[in-house]
Amino acid sequence: MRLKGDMIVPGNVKGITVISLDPISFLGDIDPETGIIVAEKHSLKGESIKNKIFVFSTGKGSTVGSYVLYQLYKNGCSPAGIVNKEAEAIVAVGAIISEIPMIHHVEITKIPHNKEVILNADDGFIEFE
Amino acid sequence: MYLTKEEERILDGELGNIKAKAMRILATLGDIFNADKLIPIQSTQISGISYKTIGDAGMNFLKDWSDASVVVESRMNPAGMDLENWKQMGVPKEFAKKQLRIVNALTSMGVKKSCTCAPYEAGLVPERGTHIAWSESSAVSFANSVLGAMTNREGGPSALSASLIGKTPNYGYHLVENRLGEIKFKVNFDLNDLDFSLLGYHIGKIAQNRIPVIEGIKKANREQLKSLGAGAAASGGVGMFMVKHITSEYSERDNIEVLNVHQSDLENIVNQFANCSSYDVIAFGCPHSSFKEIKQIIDNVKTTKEIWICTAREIKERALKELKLIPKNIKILADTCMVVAPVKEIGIDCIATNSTKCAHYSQNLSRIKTLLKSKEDLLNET
Repeated sequence: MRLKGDMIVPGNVKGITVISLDPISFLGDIDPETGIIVAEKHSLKGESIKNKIFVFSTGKGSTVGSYVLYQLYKNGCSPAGIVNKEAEAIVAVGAIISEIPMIHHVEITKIPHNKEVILNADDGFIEFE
Repeated sequence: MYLTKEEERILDGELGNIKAKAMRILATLGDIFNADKLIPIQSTQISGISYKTIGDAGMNFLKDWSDASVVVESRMNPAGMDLENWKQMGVPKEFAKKQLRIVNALTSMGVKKSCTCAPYEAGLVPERGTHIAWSESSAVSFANSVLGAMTNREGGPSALSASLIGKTPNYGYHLVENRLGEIKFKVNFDLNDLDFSLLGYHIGKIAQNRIPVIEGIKKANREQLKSLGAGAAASGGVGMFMVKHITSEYSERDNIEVLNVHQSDLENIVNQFANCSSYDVIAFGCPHSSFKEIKQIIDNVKTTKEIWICTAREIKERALKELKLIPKNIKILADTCMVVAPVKEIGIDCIATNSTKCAHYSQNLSRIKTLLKSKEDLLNET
């Protein structure tokens, strides 16, 4: 199945999905040293986003979140790709400075959790079996 | 968003990898917010300077970008310490080392080491109708509402990108048709100095990121409008406000919601921030004090409690030169403020202030106790 989206950051990657239907604040929700989701009430608490295709509705919270994404990238713990329902400034800026392929305007509820997918940001789609 | 051929070449790397990323940030934000094009700006003001707020992540990012150069007048928001007198402030050495790395990275890019949240008090006064890209929320509010300049509420990286490119996406407050009141507040009682800060905080909570218009204020000076705007930007996301008969721009959308403000609304905020009875420090200068305000504090101080007045370095230097008798309990701090300094590590447990913005961030960011009082009360207390 192929779902269309719009490119934010170019690139083509393959990876396993981690899906969060809740908005993500990179400052506070993700440990920048490990890439593990540490948000207390989050349904995915304890899961890692390192090298994954991180699929979530949108970003929220402090603008420092852009820098946290950069820190994950410097520590080798950033996601391989990002797919949003609706991008906002914090995550988009973080993905640009960290060169993480990213698309948005995707119907994320149709994407399966923990499954291998192809993210082709250049042509604006995510594909899985 | 439309990019010119020159802008596309920058995006493709003609001016190097960093400027390409800066251009991608501006182009992407333009797409997200439906801008039609990039427009030239006169100046930028960059937030996220304190090591306390951006940490190692932000420090490393700025170091990695420090080879690029800005192309417009660019200023920094306050750092986490007085860059010259940090030892006297009690700032830990490790913090100071990292803070200096951040400031040095930006300085090498050409950003002026004038670390202030109120650049308009320190020589950077944008003209009415000009486009700028500022990110400190209280400065954005003052620039749009009082000075009549045009800026969105930028984030640190987007303001830095605007510095490197000299442009910003054309949306939001850059468009005259968006500068209209969206919710109205009626005030029918007189306001003292503290009330302006309280009123700002109250309307900000309700307006969130809408433009509030305020009716019923008979007069307000520059300092009072500055307090109002800072309060509204701290409790909500207010980037612009209008006061009938006082701010130069005053126009509203049709059939907007109208709310009455009661004195009890303001008292509730005082109570919300009253969580200690004795305090370690009185904090003035949130936003950074003007020279006039510093003089007024020094002329009227009676208390012997420790007082911090935070301001821009240019103003501190003028104050030290022109105001001869500065009482021993008054510390004039430049480059920093009580919101972004590591106050807890310095040993401050409770701060008394006349600023709702200072109280808000002391409680929510610094995690210390607060007390809100008028400037007059704080200066007279023994």
